[in-house]
Amino acid sequence: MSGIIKRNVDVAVIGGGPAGLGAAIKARECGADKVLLIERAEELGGVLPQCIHNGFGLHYFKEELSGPAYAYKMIEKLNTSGVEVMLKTMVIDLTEEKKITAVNEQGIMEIDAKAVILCMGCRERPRGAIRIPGDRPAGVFTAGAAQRMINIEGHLPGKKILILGSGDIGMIMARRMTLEGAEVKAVVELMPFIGGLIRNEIQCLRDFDIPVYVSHTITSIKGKDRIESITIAEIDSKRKIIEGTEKEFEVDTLLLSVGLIPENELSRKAGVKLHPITGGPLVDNLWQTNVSGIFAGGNVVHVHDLADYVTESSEFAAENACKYIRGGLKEGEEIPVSCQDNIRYVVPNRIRKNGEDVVMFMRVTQPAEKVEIRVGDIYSRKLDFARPSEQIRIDLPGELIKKCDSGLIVRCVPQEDKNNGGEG
Amino acid sequence: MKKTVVCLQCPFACKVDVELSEAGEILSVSGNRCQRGDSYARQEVIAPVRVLTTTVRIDSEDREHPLLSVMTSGAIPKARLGEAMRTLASVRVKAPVEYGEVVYEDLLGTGVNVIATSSIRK
Amino acid sequence: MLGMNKFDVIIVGGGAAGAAAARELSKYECSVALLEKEIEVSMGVTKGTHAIVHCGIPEPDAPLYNRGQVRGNLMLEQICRDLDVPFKRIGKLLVGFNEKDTGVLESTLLGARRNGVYNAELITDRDRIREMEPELTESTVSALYTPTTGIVSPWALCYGLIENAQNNGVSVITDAEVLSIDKQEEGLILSTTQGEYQASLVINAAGAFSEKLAGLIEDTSFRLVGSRHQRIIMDKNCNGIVKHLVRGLGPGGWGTDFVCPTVYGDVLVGVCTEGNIPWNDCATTREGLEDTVIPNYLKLIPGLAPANSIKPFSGFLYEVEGTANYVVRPSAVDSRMIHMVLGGSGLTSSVAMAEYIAEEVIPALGIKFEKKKDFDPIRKDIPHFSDLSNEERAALIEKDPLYGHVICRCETVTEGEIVEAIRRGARTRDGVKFRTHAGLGRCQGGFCGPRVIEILARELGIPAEQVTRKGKGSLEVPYAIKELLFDPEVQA
Repeated sequence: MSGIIKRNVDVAVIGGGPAGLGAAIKARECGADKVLLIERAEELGGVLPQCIHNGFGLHYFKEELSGPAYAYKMIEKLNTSGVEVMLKTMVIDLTEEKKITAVNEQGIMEIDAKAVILCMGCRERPRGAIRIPGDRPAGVFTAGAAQRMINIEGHLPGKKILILGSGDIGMIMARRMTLEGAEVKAVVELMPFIGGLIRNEIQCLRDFDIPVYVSHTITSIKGKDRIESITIAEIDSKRKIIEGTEKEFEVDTLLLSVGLIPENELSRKAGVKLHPITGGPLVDNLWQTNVSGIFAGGNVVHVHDLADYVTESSEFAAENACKYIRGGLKEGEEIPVSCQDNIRYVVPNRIRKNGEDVVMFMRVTQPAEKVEIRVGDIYSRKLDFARPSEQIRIDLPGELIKKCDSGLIVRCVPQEDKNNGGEG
Repeated sequence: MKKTVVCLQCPFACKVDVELSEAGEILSVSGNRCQRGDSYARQEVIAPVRVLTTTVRIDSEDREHPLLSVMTSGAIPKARLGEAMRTLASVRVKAPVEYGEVVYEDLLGTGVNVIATSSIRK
Repeated sequence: MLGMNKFDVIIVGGGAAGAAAARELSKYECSVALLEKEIEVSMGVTKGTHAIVHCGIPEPDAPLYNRGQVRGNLMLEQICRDLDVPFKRIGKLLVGFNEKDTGVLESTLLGARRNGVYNAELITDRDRIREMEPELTESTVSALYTPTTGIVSPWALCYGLIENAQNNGVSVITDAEVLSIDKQEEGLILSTTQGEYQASLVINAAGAFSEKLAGLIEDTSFRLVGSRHQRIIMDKNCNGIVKHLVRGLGPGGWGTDFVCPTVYGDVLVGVCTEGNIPWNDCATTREGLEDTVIPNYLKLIPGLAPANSIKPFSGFLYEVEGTANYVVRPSAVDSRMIHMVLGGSGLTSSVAMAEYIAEEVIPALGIKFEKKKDFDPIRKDIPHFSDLSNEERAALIEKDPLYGHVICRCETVTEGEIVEAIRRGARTRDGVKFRTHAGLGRCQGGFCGPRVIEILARELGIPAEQVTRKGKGSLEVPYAIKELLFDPEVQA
């Protein structure tokens, strides 16, 4: 009987996308000796190599890069960092004691880590989860899967396309498929507003005169073997279909861009508690989960706007993971953070009162103008606008945190004085 | 004639109104918060340009990596994106290609080059 | 005739019935072929059945049905063990909500016992019911408990039966639709899309198309009626919410809505049943899912949130018109065609009816096949990486490193399993999915789909543009990159 390979490392990073690359490099920079980066794909970069469009790197590298270029630059950094990389390796188990079971073509490995950083990213919501009715022919793809086929593997999934969901990936794929010669007949959005960034709305949809149907949903897919047509209809404010508004589109392909869900199967196995709204681990202001020594960074916690922010958050998790293994995490009384009014979620979910500065990320539920973000009664900030597609970052000095006694509630309320200018 | 341009120079996304004469000359620009918005809106109304990101084929039997991601080194006229795609469709590069290497020069006579945004070994 | 394939028995149809017949007849000294019109076996009604192994509650005037259910239930446990097919005897609770229901359940109980379901039991102790199913609605008054009701994977059973039959000498020919049958003295001549075949006996196991096949010899002695059954598969994290098959008592004393564990650890809920739909239609509807399936299953198990759904789907089922009984008999037009028409409950009965055909129907025609001495009843399934211990996994990877490359992350399916599935006959993405479970989980193939297409293309030696979801025109990625830039239709 063949043996199981046993290993010990200081920091194990699970996932080699923009989060994992950042975390692994940072862990070495912070002095961790044995850093292991485990990636399930054949190459590093996660989703970056298939995101051939621009818009990456402006914050992190101070230049505008494509996804593959962002990955290239990160991997260049990694190559001189002394991180050990395992490719084509899948983590199949993680325990509360930070024991990792991984598999690759060499065999099964059991890896004991002093600290673990979860960087598994997120996955796309599939058709079944939103219960689109109709036939079940070929031709339904998540936008990301189609992106991989087109930009990496060199296949075009179809000729006449309908896209459900106006998130950024959906819009970017509308442009990409149009450029490659397919015809995008419509982008259909359940909400009354477009889900992704304005820049993508203009440069991906309006540039190519692609029609957008907001407050619409798919009522039926037709086609025995391959999609033949899709019918959409308008919905009212209670999401009920408005009779007589049905439109049928002759298409062969449906792309779904209906949301991203942090990928936390492994986290659950380790007893990591998850947030009901984000689907990501509940973390403290050090991005440590409820399991001591298991940290999380990037989209596995909540879906970030930019890869740059993903890298940044996982670097922060790595810094703290390194402090943790040296026993240098500053303890402090923990206070819970929750949200109300127009705030959909806030990260972190609890804060240690240890005098250190705290960075908070949040998203609003509804688009709003002239609002004020209030963090308990210790901090407030005025914004000209708040959009669900754009995360809001708040930096709280440690001194302020010391002042609060119980939990912090984060709210987004209309500005009291409308004449007061905001920061944006 | 009035055209409205959403400025994409920063997250404010100002709606900029550009007033045009019959002859297509710009009479006024309003609604922008900064000078960048002014010049962006003028460009968008007169001759919109875009950076093109796409792929070109790699001359190889390797099924795992048939494509190289590329982008234009500068913006090209928006109206010529389709033409640019058809031109690049017949380009085949030979490995190895370095990151940043020019894979196609002077796209459609615009003076803009097409450069690799990743590298291929072998 | 030159080059014609001659067999003692040709089975038409590669669903559960045909598969059971193939395996049963492979126990005998006779040459057997199975013809399947689709590109793979198990692509028709079998794929969409509800996976329940019935206990044998009888129907009036349906002797073959009543016999098939009880005998099939009994046989399947051993057969599944031999074929390495998942089968669990989970038991069923048929739930009544008032005193009148209890009365109906009482008479159902008597009928069940008369048909040999001796351990069926009527429970009126609500505490005991609650103990058996804590999540069951509080309005439950009584339950008919049948401990022998089981669950199986319909397609796994079909693959197991067919692979074992092949191992015992049966030829399987796919993509072979029977177009006409010529009644010659030397045998029935079947013209198919894969050439001509001659048989001394033909078993009509064509499922939803068995009426059409009978029509090819002008036999119009039975008619089929079809119905569509909308259901939803719920995520694995609901595993354990019910332990038994839980059904609500509906009109006519039959169970309708249900919540049921599956052998794969997820939960199946249903059902919206509709007649009068186009033949073989497997669409779901908004009304069926949102206004029928969901509110009705919630009446049984209120705590199972609809947000857990991962796949709504419809199964098309057929029945013989006017009777619950099966049509398992030689055709009156030409006794060389033996009908094996089982309908929607045929999964349970298939093995029993195959045994009946081999042991009673064929001998009654004066044909005798000797039993083989070397019949091997054992078949091993594709090793499922996720079910193995780490030691077993390491050993498997040492033999074949592809078992160390995980392709489907939801169900932890490796490249080794996918390659083995293709070796065993998978030709489509659905075929890979049903054999290996790649794409059956939470993300429904969103992640592994493109990778499975690449592996299928590589192993079958075809371009990815020709890989299909389920055969015929169900192409997955029909065009190569840059191809459409010069497509006159699109560019126009």
